Amino acid sequence: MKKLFVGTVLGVMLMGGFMSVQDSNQEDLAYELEPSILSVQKPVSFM
Amino acid sequence: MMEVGSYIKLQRVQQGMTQDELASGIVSMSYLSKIENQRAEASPEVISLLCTRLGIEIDNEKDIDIKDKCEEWYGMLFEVNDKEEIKKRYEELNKLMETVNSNNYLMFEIYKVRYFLVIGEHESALEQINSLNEVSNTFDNLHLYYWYKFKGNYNSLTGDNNQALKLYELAEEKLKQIDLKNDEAADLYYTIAVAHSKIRNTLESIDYAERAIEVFQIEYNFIRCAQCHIVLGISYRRIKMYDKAIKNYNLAKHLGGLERSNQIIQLANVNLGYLYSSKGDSHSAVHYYGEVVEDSEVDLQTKLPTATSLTREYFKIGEYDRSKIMLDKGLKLFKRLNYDEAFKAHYYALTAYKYAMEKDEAKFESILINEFLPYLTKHKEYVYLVDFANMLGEHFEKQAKYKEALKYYKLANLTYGKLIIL
Repeated sequence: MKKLFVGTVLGVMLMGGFMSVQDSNQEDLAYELEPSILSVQKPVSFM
Repeated sequence: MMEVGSYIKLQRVQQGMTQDELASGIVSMSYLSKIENQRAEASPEVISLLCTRLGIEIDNEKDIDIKDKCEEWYGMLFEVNDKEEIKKRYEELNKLMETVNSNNYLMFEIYKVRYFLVIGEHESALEQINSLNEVSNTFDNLHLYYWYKFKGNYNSLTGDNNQALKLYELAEEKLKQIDLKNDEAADLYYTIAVAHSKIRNTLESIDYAERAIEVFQIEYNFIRCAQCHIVLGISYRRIKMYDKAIKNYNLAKHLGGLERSNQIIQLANVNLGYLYSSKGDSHSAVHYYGEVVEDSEVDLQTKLPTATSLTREYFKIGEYDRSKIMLDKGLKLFKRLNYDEAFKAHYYALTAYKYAMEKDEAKFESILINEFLPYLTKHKEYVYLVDFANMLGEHFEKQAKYKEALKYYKLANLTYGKLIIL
């Protein structure tokens, strides 16, 4: 019982540590789109 | 005239003929090899026999006309142009080239690599590269410059940016040995800037984009300047200089407006969306993404990534109804792109969100664990990998499956570490 309790607490603490790192990671997560290296093509229309 | 030996060799290689097949009955194989590599000069009779077997003629008179036509066509491969018109000119030139031993022949063959990339035929570009490999030892410095550059373009477009950069470096070296117009050098610098940006070499990207923009500004080439501003915007965002990033994006939009290029304006909008998303300003992110997705003139290759980002943004702020609408739209766009492999990551991302919103835990876990995360690992798509490994971690955490949760949080963190090293 005691081991289960300690294990859960440790697990939650570790995750808390990971998550706080996740939050500060958020700033760098962007999926930018660079322009093409080929001719700038005329855009094609889509409905 | 281009050395006839090289001309014969190239024709032979392109027709899939061996030296033995060509030489048989005319000269020995070893002598043919010497002719092809310009170590021996054959008699006109021998040349004539070899050419007859290859089905080609030698006509010396048409060369000057060809040069002008070629130059015009080359220009079309770098600026805004109609693909159909480019193809038409290509067919004309190709026919002309088939019957003439021209100084321009080799350059034309090298430019074919770029041509195939512009019309989207990557396989043909590779075939052309492979056949030209056989004669690349006869290229002069000018040939080599374009050879390296266009091979680099091929690698850029097939996702091998590191190899592309090595080739661009070789091209840049050649630039010092030849006399080219400034806008040609600028185009190379711009291409290098984009390649650096794709592998997050932020400072190098800024450096090359600045060099390119210097030339394009002098020439009032607004479209090219706008492209450089977008590359700069992306880089400045990555080093958290947000004001400078926004300034560059807005400049790109302004120049795009002057040239009536909706494509440029919307590309700037997509990236502005990413900027605000990364700052946690979902409201602004949604606004910019929305502009792009609602615009009927935006090409599919830009619209699909935007739809995915908008799905993600709505999901993040709990607007699940809107997320679902955007998700469906995204999946339809993927279908209209004929399920193009290049956009597979978006298909996976949208499907993962779909299962998450439908609360189909089994399918959600399955697609992430068995398909999406391995796919992202294989393709080194670290940004997506951090995001979705994290999402899976959160999913397991909510179910109190802490061991599983830790595993994916750990993956997210390790991947993030790789991202910041890049």
